[in-house]
Amino acid sequence: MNVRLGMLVFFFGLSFTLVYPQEHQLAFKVLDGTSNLPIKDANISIIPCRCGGASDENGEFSIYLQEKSYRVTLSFVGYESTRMSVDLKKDMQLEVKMKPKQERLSEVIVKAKKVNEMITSPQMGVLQLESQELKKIPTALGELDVLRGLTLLPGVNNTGEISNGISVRGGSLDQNLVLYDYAPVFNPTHLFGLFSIFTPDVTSSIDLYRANIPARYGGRASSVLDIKVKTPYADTLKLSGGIGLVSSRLNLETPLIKDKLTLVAGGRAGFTDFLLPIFSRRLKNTKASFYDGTIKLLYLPTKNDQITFTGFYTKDFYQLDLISRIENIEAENNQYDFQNLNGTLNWQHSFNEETALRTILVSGTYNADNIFPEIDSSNEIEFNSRIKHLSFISEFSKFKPAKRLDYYLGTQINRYKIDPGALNPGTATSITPITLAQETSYELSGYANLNWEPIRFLTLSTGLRYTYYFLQGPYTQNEYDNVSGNVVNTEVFEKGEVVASYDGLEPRLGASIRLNPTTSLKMSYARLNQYLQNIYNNTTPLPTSRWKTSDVNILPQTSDAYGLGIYKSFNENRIEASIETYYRDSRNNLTYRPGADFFLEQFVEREVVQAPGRAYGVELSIGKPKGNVNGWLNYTWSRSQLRTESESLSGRINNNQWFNSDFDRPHTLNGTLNYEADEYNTLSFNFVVQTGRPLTLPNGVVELSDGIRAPIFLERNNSRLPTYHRLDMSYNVHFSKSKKNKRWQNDWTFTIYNLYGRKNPLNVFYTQRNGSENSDIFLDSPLGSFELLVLNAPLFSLTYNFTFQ
Amino acid sequence: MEVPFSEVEESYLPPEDFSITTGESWELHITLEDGRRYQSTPEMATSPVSISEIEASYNPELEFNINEDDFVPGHKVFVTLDDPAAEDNFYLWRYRSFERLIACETCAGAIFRDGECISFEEYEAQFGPCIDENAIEPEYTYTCERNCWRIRFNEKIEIFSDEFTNGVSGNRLGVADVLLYTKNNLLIELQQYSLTAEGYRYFRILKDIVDNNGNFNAPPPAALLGNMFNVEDSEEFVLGRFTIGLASTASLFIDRTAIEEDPLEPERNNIETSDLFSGNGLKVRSTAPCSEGRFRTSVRPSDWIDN
Repeated sequence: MNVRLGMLVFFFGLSFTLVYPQEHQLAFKVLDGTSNLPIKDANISIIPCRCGGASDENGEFSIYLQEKSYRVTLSFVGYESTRMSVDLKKDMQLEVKMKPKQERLSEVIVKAKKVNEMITSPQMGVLQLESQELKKIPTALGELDVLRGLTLLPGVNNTGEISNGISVRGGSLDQNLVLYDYAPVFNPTHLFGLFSIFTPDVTSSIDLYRANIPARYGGRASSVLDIKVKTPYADTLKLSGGIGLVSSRLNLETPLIKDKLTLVAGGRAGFTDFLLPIFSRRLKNTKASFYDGTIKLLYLPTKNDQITFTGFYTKDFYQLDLISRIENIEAENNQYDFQNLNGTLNWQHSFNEETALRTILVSGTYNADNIFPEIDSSNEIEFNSRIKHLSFISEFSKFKPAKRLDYYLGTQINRYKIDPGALNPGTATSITPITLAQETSYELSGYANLNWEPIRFLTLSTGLRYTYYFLQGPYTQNEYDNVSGNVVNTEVFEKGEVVASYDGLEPRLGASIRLNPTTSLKMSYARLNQYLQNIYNNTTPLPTSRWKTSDVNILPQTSDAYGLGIYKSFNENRIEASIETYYRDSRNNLTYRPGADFFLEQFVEREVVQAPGRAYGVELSIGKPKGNVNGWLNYTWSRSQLRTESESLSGRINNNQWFNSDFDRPHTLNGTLNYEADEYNTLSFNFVVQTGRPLTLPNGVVELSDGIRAPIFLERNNSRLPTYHRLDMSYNVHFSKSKKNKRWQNDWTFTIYNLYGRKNPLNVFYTQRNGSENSDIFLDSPLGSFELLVLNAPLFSLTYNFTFQ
Repeated sequence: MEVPFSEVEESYLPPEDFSITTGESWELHITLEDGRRYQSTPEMATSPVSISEIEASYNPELEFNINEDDFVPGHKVFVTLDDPAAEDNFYLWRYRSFERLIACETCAGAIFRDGECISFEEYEAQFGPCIDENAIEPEYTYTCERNCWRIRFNEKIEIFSDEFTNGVSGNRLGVADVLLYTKNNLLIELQQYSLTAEGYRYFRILKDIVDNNGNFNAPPPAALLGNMFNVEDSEEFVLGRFTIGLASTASLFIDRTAIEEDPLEPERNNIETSDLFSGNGLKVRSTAPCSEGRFRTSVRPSDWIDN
């Protein structure tokens, strides 16, 4: 992390020296406090010039600066940061002895860590949420939550308290590539969107790319969420964990063979059945449990090689009366059961200080099942669906710190095998077994990316990705009549035959122009293609929602995103502010045909409509990143709309006029405030206020011959839910149990989610009225109208966390 | 052949002797007063499937009722049928239920005279002072003059497609939820219609709108576009559907006297009428007529069992 920041600061520093003439030399010599040996690549950052750099082989660094007072921070992996004030009135030479951190890592580990950080340094245009920041954010029931934390960043939304993913800049939930140590995650939440699935304590970095997307990523049309698991650079045992209302966690970080093999393992288990009926009697038939676990092994065979293996497993099981039952299967109830199982093998070889080769093999399976216990029987009817994916990545990267140039080029091969659904009757004689045909598809990509500072003041990031996609037989491809939807032609493809193929060049461009020492202008452009999509007709997908590869009928989704932003810092970098604007033009977005049903649907292509889309917005952000009182405030104005181009009336949505997508949120204001009173007490708040989600309201009511009153809907998303707003609070008390034993540390986190008990509705729905019930509310309205709420009161929770190291 | 419909109480009905048999195809033509013409695509009559058994099971917590904010009791009605293997079958169920009505009229703050509830003020204005204010009850209930049955209808859209169960004989399906509005005995008259695939799709959209709309995964509502179109303007959205459904029927008598749970409607079986107001030619009254209509009948249902 430090290295990334240092590089950026370094570029800006040089431009500064040209602007101001009256200068003195400020030189440093950085030494190890114990051995007195010079430290190379220590970060030196200087405020208020926001300049600095890295020490050379002799531990030396020098810079010419204006006559002024400066605050200097020196940092290096494995050492405690050193801060000092410098009153620069003449040329100065300072010798700094850095103190190794208590948890001092061995030289091998430190070196490995440094190489890794160099290779994984991200490009500009990334929003980062560090796990330390994440821990401060007050969350529902005290669960650390990656996705919910991200919704506090500008341009990131979800569908409410229940959201099986995030929406980035108006894109749909499946348009984000979610990677957990390079492995794609198809269902990122536990319990139908209540909590994120990623094992909280082993997460090391969360990078969200939403504008200038590096060429190494591809396959989804709106953004990339790259979550990395902590690499166990450990040479002592560290144990941590927590006990919460919803889940309990345990993590272990330990060397297995000193300086050769280390391990981090984390797990979480949650049982919430007993909690839910407290909220409503309606939840009394609910069953819910979830688990997730991550292990990562680091093997250092030579000083130039690092091999890691990451294993990730999650499991959810739930039964909830508030999910509509699946039609046409008679059962006691409907249960959902799903698992993610991913494995990532990553070999990094560094040839020298400047070049490295990374080779990655990813394999994973996502299983999503429905279980239907048969009435008056012990038999269970099952619906099974599965995605198996396999991925190979090889990437060569080169860094030329002196020339301020780095580049990488690589290749990626992905294979997806989708089993869209099978109905397994068990011993039930009344159910016909059904198996939908498997879909096998490949994405072959080559990519290159160059980050370059051709002239001072300008940093360029250019990338190009080429992908060849094909769907492979066996496959039965139907052609449909545009208007009637009837099958007009069927073509059967043999095993290995190419059913459909698409290819595309995806240019990526980013430019950062430094206007003055505190102001920069950034521009970006990215084209993205998406060949794999989630098909669902709810506001948020169920775990069993169908994933579909592009074929002859379902064209790949593409998007062109343009961005422009101005970034400025004030008050000696204590305040950071930015304005970003974007426009995203997309094609072939998937939306459901009115009245679509996708469960075990053989002709699923007929039930979806592909529509062009447009999303645009302005994001204002102001933040104070440091100090005892820190936080940020974001305001976003944005729109997200779609338009169908269907010939048939039944395929048209809003008669082919632009309509608001489910993710259209014109106004969003959110803020976070942390008050770190001392090293023991932290108080945090976050606040969100946002335009309500688009909603479809009836245009009228009709009474049917059996007396049922049916609301009449003519348009989609013609109205909105009430404004969403919420304030959360968390209070963290950190203490050491014994002052002598600093290895054992504890903290308590008390959170109140929805502090003032705002009743934010998730949906509005209508019921039949029989007689005069609730007539004081509904008067003589033909239908009763209700709001579906997830929370109608503040939610309190207390979590205990411990660390032993 | 063209069959004209005639208007009866806001409904358009075919002649009484009109009937449809399996395999026939019909279109509906509508001409509005202003000359606009609408028409349906041809709709086929698919063969009805007979009901081999009908039964009901009582569940003290049949479903969650949002108005009551709790689980409510009721019966689930099941039918057993032999699904024909030769074709895709689509079913729709509707029912009418009959229960003996004891109280035919209740007047709140008023009394029942001349076929309507009359407030005391109105009564006295008409007939002169004759009411002892101390004797006024908040409401008065009147028993039915003769046998009278309350009719209720299905409140949900009950449909089924045999997509996962084609050709299964003895398929047992839940087809109706009959809530415990009262604890009076009840007769269910169930109709089982056979639909076309398009007809089923239309009723499924209707079901999503009417029944499946209050959940976390509620499908966003869709327009009820059926098979009707404007003859002159193919771009006009026409709602509704012309559906032919040939029906099998079955009846089931449910004895509810032994049920312990409280009914959803207040019990009115023991009526002590205290309306003794009379004067100026009006008589003491304790009964009210059955008021025949959609929701009441004095015609004894054919399968009613007296007890």
